[in-house]
Amino acid sequence: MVLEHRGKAPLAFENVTVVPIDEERVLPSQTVLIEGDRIARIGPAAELEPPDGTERIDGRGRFLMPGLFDMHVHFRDPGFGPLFVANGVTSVRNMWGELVHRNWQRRIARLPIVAPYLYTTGPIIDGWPPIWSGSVVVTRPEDAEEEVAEQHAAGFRAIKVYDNLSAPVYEALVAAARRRGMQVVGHVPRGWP
Amino acid sequence: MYRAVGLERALQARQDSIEHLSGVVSPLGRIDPLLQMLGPRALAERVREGGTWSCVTLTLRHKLVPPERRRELLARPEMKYVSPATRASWASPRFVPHDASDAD
Repeated sequence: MVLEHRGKAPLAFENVTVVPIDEERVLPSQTVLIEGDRIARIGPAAELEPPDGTERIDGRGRFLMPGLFDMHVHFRDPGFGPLFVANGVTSVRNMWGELVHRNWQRRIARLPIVAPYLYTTGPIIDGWPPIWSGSVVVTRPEDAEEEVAEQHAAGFRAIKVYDNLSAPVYEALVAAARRRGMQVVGHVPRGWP
Repeated sequence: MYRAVGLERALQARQDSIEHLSGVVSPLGRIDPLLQMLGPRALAERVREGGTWSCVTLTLRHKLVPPERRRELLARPEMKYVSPATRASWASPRFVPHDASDAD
């Protein structure tokens, strides 16, 4: 995400209530000091005096918390980027990746675009018949290696498995993914014939 | 001879994440034998201890909806921030799995 503060003056949120997430608690009347792209200090507002030149934001009556991570999205429209961020979601895991998502990952990393960090699976891998017509279909274990290799070469780091995969194909896909350090995520393929 | 996967094999394979509780309870009400045997609490423990994450996506239960409810959701004021093309795709009757009876 490109709402970074790198290269600018320090930034302080003053008298804000911090939601630290480590346990169920809030820390009232805090000052949070940002230097570069890091949180430099958090402390009681009465004690933490930001250095000269700091940009100050009045946090009274407001809460400050880490960005949310939505672990299952279908990022089908680049217009979703600002909507995620506006709702506090600063990272997403896209669950049906296509080449366009690799392109968006690069653009989000390089350009001043308001969008969450984007993690993505590769295209859905299903058996026959596929639940969705746009899925990749693998019905023979000997074809798993090539499919996973192609997704890995395209830059995907997780495969998404789906309902109608048979056990021999599923096992071959998992093995091919593990050899490349890729995650295996998705539906549990059905457990009956 | 067809060999199926199911929850037990997915856990043995240490699948990194399971979406929508798929494989635990099917939309047709089919309950996995492992759930029948262990019960929900012990099954949840087993999934966790095996290193598999469960991403339950409860919101899907509210958002994958019949057409009349779709219209209601699309009429929300905040929908003005969603592109017309995406709104149209959400309104379309084609926005369902090919075999809705068999998909999460």
